[in-house]
Amino acid sequence: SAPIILKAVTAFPKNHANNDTIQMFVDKINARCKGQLEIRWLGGPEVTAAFDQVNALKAGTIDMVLYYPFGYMKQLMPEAEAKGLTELAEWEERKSGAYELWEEIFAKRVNAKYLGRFHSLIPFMLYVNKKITKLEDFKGMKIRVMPLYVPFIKALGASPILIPPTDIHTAMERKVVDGFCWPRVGMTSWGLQEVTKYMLMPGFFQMEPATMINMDKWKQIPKDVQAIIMDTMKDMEYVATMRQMMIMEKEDSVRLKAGMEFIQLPPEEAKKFLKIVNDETWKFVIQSAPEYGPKLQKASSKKALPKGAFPWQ
Amino acid sequence: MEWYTTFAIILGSLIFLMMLGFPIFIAFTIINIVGIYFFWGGADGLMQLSHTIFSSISNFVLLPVPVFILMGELIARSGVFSFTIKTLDKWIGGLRGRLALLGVGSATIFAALSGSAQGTTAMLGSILLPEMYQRGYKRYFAVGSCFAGALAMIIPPSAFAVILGALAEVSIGKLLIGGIIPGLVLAFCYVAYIIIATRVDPNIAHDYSPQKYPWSDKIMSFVKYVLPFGSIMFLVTWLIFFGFCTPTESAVLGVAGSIILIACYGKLSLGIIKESFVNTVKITVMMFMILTGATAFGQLLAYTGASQGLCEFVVSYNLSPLVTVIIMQALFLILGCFMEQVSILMVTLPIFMPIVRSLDIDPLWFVILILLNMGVAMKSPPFGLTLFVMQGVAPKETTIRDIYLGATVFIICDVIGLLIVFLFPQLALFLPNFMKY
Amino acid sequence: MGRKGIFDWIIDGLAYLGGILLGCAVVIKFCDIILRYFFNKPLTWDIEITEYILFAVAFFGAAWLLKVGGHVRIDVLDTMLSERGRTYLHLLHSAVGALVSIILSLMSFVAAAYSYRDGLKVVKIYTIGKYYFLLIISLGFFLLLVEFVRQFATGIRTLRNQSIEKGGE
Ligand code: NA
Ligand code: NA
Repeated sequence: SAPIILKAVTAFPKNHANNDTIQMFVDKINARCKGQLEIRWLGGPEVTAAFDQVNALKAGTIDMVLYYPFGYMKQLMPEAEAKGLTELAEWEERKSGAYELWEEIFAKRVNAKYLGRFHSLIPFMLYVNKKITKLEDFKGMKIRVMPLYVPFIKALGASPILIPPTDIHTAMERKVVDGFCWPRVGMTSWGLQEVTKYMLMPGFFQMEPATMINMDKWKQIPKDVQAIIMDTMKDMEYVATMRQMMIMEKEDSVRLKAGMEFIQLPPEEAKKFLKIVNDETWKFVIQSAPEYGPKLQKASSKKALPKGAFPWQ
Repeated sequence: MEWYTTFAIILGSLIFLMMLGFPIFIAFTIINIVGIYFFWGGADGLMQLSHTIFSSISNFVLLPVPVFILMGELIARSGVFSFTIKTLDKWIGGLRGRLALLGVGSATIFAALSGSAQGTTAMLGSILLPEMYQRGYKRYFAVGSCFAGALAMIIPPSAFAVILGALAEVSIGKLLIGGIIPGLVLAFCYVAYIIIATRVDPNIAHDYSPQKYPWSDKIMSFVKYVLPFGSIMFLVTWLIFFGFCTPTESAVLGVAGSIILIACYGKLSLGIIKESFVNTVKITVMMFMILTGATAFGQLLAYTGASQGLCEFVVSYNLSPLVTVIIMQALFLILGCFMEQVSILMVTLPIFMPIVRSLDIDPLWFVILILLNMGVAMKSPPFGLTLFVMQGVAPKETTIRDIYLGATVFIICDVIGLLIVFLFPQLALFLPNFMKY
Repeated sequence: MGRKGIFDWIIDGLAYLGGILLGCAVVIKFCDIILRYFFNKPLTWDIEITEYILFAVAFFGAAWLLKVGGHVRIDVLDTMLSERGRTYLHLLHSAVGALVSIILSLMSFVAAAYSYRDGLKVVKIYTIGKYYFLLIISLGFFLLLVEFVRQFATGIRTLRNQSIEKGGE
């Protein structure tokens, strides 16, 4: 019989740095499932607008989303924003019970089989134009944010400003904002290193891309092929993360070359900073997701790992 | 189905429906409904279309569009600007086609204030066209000179350049700065055309014989009618260039400034404000409804693999770098006739940029050529956003033929400018090379 | 022509509302700038409200713009046809236009119902049920449908008058 075709999209355009390992993943699966299943990567937001992709997946207009920030799913999944707050890598979450929780949530909210997350441990950073050495310095600053960051930015005493990503460059240049939050990868593709003076350490949260298949389609796939897909996904999570780390290092050198400085909060201040960031944001997330929120918080913490599961524990 | 069959059917039907005279947004929507039903899986696909319609226009980046239209409407309808034109006439004297030259000049200056080609074109069209018609300019010539408004997306600030730079992954700062000289090259081509055309065919721009005015009169009217107007431009430029706000904000402040100025001339009335708003709503609704159709149309082309097939076909012939650039740019020109700019970028760049980089073509130069090219797409028939704006603002007696002919003449100037920048890459790269990073 | 019917009041009123909303968007943005520079207290909701306004203006004004003949189209064929041919052409336009509008009005309504059922939201700083916006699309195309039907009826009347005139010659 003819192979099952999975029509797939990504949230970002095909050649975007975040899609680095997607083609590799698609090729591997197509080779291993030859004759039984084929993933066709149609493209990015030019095929379906990024925010609409999760609706299309739920309805079955597309079969698979290869790379999709969890945050974009908040429209259907009140829990979505909890993913970025995890302390664990995806392979750790598969042992802590978090993966099973997410699997359940995906089936319930977006009618999809959750496969996993390509990138682990890539942090978000605050990029600022004012030197920050203590939390006091945040008072009165204007920071461009996503809605999720509003609570902690307010708790730090700064003003959150929402502008579209395309406007950040001009807004930084013209001092409409004094800083913005962005992952440690991808900031230079917007040319933002040219208008930014400092990257503030430590980073916080994690980049959180989901890979998923429409549930009705998933059920049509024979069990042995399903196993190949899951297996490839688990392997590629290590590969993709490793490669993304190397891209991150290259980006750091681009930032330094552009004259940016990396500033480190002193240990005590850093601890306070991370506490505010995590506590305020978890409070906000649990408020909008009372059902799964507390369970997720528990399963996403370092304490949830069974003893001896990994050599680095 | 092969990609070229799909491509030919979809594009052919669209052109057919447009030629039948359906409102453009309905023509797009017909194709979308039929295409989505067959390619995307029936009723689910059609519901998805409703979501696409919402995403296509609920976009903050579009705000400068109505705001700059409003600014142009307010200044035009209050009649303030016609005094300014009269004053400039007193000063310019006997140059032929001087209103057209004035159009190109104001477009160039205003391009440095505005990030929106549509807004600038609307302003020029609504202010200058009635004056030019009144003085017996050939309609296509008059309309064409107002298409210089597309310079606004080439000369910084430009919202479009930011999107382009982000999608192509080139330095946005360099791209913005790199647009300055090529923008001036285009302006120069327009001026050269106007001067030559009015020499060859004096009937093209009937200028009444200029009366002589005493210097005291010239200076008085300059102070009264040019300085305040210039001060608004100065205010807006100053705000943008010296770092106080984004283009969107400068648009809003420009409106506030215009209202104050009009009030100072004693020309502000509820009637004028109402009239300006009615026209702004007209143009905004017209463009946004087309955007709802065009966005889904671009997605349909991408989903069926038609646009990707076309691009891959073009690059499958292993040609030399320069020939590749020429073919790619030609493809942009063709796509620009039928699609909305951002959709074009979303379809082509993921395929083109890796090739450009692998052939050792300077990506910045290539992207600046795209920027100029998209300036053409703004006015190339049958689908061009400033074409529709022009249709909205031009005086009643303007026919679609005038608009298409005027656009075509100035597109030829654009293409010459494009060739100049193609032959002399330094024009694009000179200023960015001065930047430290 | 002549007297304004209820439908005219509705679509004119909605277009008016669109204009007022657009004015509000400008004023809101203006306030945001003032608050930011002089009081360091920017608004947080100005962007999302502006996006919604831009969206609403299009669908509040679409039927009105159709009535006043403001939607762009290529009119080359019109100029080549006889008066009678042109009437037939316009009948075709309004018939197909009505068909397209009825499909999109219905599908958007169904999409709105599904979104309501699934709790689909538009998430910015504040979250709003997406069905409101899908209902606005549905309403917009419903009004377009009515206007297309009206224009179709007008076309039929014109056709009848034209044949009477012709018969009288
Ligand atoms: Na500009
Ligand atoms: Na065009």
